[in-house]
Amino acid sequence: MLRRIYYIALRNLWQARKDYGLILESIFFPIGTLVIVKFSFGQMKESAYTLETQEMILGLIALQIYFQTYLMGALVLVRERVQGTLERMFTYPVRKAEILGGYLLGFSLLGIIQAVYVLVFSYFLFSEIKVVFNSQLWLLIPITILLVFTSIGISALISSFAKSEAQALQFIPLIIIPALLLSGIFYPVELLAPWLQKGSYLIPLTYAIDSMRELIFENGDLYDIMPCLMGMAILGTVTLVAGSFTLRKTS
Amino acid sequence: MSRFIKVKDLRKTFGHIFALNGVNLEVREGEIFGILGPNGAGKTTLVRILSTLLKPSTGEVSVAGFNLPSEDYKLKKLIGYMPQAPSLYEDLSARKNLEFFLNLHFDNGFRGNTQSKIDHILEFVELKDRQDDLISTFSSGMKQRLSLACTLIHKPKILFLDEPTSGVDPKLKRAFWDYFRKLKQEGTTIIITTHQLTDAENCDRLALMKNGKVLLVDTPYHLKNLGTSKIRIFRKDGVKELEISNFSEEFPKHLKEINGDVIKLDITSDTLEDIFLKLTHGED
Repeated sequence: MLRRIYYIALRNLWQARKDYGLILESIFFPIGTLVIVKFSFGQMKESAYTLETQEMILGLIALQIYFQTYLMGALVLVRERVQGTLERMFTYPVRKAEILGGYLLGFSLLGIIQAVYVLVFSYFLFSEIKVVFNSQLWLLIPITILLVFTSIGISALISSFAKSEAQALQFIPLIIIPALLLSGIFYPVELLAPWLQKGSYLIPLTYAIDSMRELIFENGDLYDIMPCLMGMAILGTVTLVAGSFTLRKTS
Repeated sequence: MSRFIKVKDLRKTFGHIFALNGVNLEVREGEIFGILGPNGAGKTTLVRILSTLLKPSTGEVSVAGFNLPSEDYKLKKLIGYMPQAPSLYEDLSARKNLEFFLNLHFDNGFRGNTQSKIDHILEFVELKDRQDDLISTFSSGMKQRLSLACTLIHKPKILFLDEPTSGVDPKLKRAFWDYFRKLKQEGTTIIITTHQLTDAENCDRLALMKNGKVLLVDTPYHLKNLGTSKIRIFRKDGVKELEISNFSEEFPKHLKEINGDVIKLDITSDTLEDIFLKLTHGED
């Protein structure tokens, strides 16, 4: 089982390596976003915004990983459906869990590389950033993996409703707008109306941002971020199970 | 020979559409079995059920001793399925596509010498010189060849080929068939759907399908005898015309009439295509 998960992950990495658009986007999009943040929000430190710039940066890093994994996952899965390779795979001794596990492994690796790259870049761009370098920074890895896990769950679920790559793109606003407005990237979730606060806990990004901030700025440890990890694990499992039920459906 | 594939009263519905409407079929081990029929006859649905891709609505299906759909995972280790569309990773090279699909069968004894297996199959489908090019740059015939290579690379015991020779030039089609016959000699059972009569003639037995049912199962030779032959006997005193069915048995009986001063004999027999059209248009 593990071998097949590894081969499917490896294939995803082969494909990502050939996807020059994705590589360029992964390199330049975070840089562009962070530079804009530095020169826009950075100047408004004393304004009505209640979050500090570096907290927004963490939110944007998490958003980048969440969104990019969704996009990659949904596009790859829809492409697999449309070009018939998913169906071909089903005539091999491969289980659905192995297919989704392969995606999870491949995209987690890509997500971790990206998280490290963006964190290092922002460390140099924002000289005023107050990162607490403690021994608990390794916890970024489980946070990233769980974030990727939820994101793949969502892409597996949504890709079963999309008949083409273009339709997978139509779902982007559904993913990104609630994430932008409710997950606490630019302002704390506590400022939202109570019913919207409840809604924010249905968005995996809320947990990722919360735990990343806890870890980096509050010197948090595994115990502090455990509720967030659990939240992401539950949301990821629910979406992934729902996604795997619809995985068989071919166009 | 044992009954390798058994299908009993198989039905498959998609909503209110009956794709298969009570199919009964038996395929023997090691034969090349053709499923022939017009578009929409249910050929692909039948092959997709046999190759574990679809679940039957009702009926019994057993392939190589495994009951479907309950034992489909065990069967998957024995089969190779070539879909109608090429179904390949367009953004990977031919070599990487083969490597990936071979790796999925790693527990079938394919550890080691993966690369030599890939080299061998690439040579067979004549794609060795394009092995590192992306599939998106391939012509449809090249994709079809690679698709067949991906199906054969793990040496399956049972092959399901859904219209394998469409878009393939005559030279390669012949090479495909030579290879299929070689696989048959090695003991592989091959189930092939087609509406090309040249493919049908190469099969050991044929099932003729229409409207989700199997109309008849027979050898191409016997099927051809279902047609009629027109014989025109040119004599000095005029032309005599005969129309006989079952040519190989009936014609000798008419030889007496032909003796004597015959100048020319003109025989036109129904082709398999004529017979196919008569049969599929006659039974609605």
